[in-house]
Amino acid sequence: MPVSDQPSLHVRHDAFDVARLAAGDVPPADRLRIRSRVDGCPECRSLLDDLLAIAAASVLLPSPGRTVDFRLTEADASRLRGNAVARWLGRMAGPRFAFVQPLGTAVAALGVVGLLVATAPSFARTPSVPVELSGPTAESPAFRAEPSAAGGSLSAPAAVPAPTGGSSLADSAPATAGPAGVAGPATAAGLASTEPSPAVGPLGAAAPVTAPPRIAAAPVAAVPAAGAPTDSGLSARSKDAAASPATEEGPAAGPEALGMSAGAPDRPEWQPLLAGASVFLVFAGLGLLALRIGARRIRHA
Amino acid sequence: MLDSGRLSATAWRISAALEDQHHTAAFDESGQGRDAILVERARGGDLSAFNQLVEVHQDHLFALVARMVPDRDQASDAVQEAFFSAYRNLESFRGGSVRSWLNRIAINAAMDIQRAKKRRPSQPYPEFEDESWQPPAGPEADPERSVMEAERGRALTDALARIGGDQRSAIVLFDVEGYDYAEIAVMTGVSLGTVKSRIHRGRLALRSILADRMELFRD
Repeated sequence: MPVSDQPSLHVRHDAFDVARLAAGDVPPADRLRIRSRVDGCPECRSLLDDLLAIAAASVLLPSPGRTVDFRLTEADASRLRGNAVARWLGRMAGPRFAFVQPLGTAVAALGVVGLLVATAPSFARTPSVPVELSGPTAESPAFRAEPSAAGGSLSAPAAVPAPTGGSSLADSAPATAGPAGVAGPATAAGLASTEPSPAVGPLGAAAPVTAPPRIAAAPVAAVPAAGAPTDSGLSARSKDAAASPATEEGPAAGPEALGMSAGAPDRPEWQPLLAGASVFLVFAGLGLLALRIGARRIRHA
Repeated sequence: MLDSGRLSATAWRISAALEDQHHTAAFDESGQGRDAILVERARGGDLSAFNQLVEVHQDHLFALVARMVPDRDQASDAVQEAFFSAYRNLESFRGGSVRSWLNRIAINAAMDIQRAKKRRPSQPYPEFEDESWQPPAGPEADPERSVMEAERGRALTDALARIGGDQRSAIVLFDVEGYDYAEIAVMTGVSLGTVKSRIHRGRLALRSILADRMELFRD
């Protein structure tokens, strides 16, 4: 009997579907099915009518009357405004300065990239030969390069350890600039940050010397003072490489002879500057980020 | 088949209400320029300009919040906090409708109040006893109809106060304020599906509460 089955059928009907139908939220695929069910079930139809009536009455709901005046007093305003710093931070937290956050991020990222660029090549060019940190200092006579007259190959310095000693190569740079004719050390200082010792490359792999990856302080300035024999005849040196002042000094330190690129000798000039500028950028970017984030936190507090 | 007469009456009431809302919207558009000027002056430190904004919007904001927060004192607190927050964050106003901006702030304040109330329940179902809740009646209004509408409004308000806060907020924003689902989702910070679910379940809850008084809603 269909009539007696109606209540039990309605129990199985989903009231939520009827509510969706009342709100016009039923997708077209389900609309016909739900609509036909509502048409066939008096309870569902009554529910739909009631929901529509409630929605219509909600639109016409009377407005609650206000009994409080919400205008701000001068005391409220001064309390909410805060002091000059708070106002400035409030402006910084506003949308006008929304660019500060991405700008700070970009500047800090640029600084990090700069630091990587300034330091990464030293790792890339470090030979696998172990570093001997206890070698003689730059003043050591054994450090002097003695280019031969004919072939230009160095004889004694081949067995000479690099002037790494216990101090940094940057520190040793002035010492290498002293005596004229001491070519090897000057270039060693010039390449201090990234390159192996000049005694290593062209003179055989016997010298267990490797310059540690450091950032030289003022290596190249010492090079011209070295007065080392130029154009010593190192066969591998190219004219292009010789154009660089650093390459003209130490014959054993020629970049080509060391297996380096021609631009390598320039690195000490810009590397400290780049590193310094990168550190500045990192701190500036982080400062901008901190300013913006701090201002927003203070404003929301 | 559905009762077409009843449906058409319902549709007429909804369309009349929507037309009224459209008039309100047109009025709002004309007031946006004024609001923008007042905001700029208030940003410059002119407190009287901000207070003019308060005068313009406080009735509407209180009506909105009072429907979401049935306790009138808490509703007043929420509206006051909303204006404080608006004054503090004048710099964050990005342009556009000042009314919508204030609505969002007030809705957030109302939801904060509701969350706090959920943590510390005081009165489970506070009553609306203030007679100022009566709808305005013009001289041409039918007294019997006015009484009926007042009674319907009271019943619905009482029922709204008895459903969950989330459902109440969704229904008020959708049915009373006329926001669409997406706007409500943004304002309340929930998904579109959650908004729809709250509205549907809230209406079902209202119908369950009003089951023995539905004759008030059937013309």
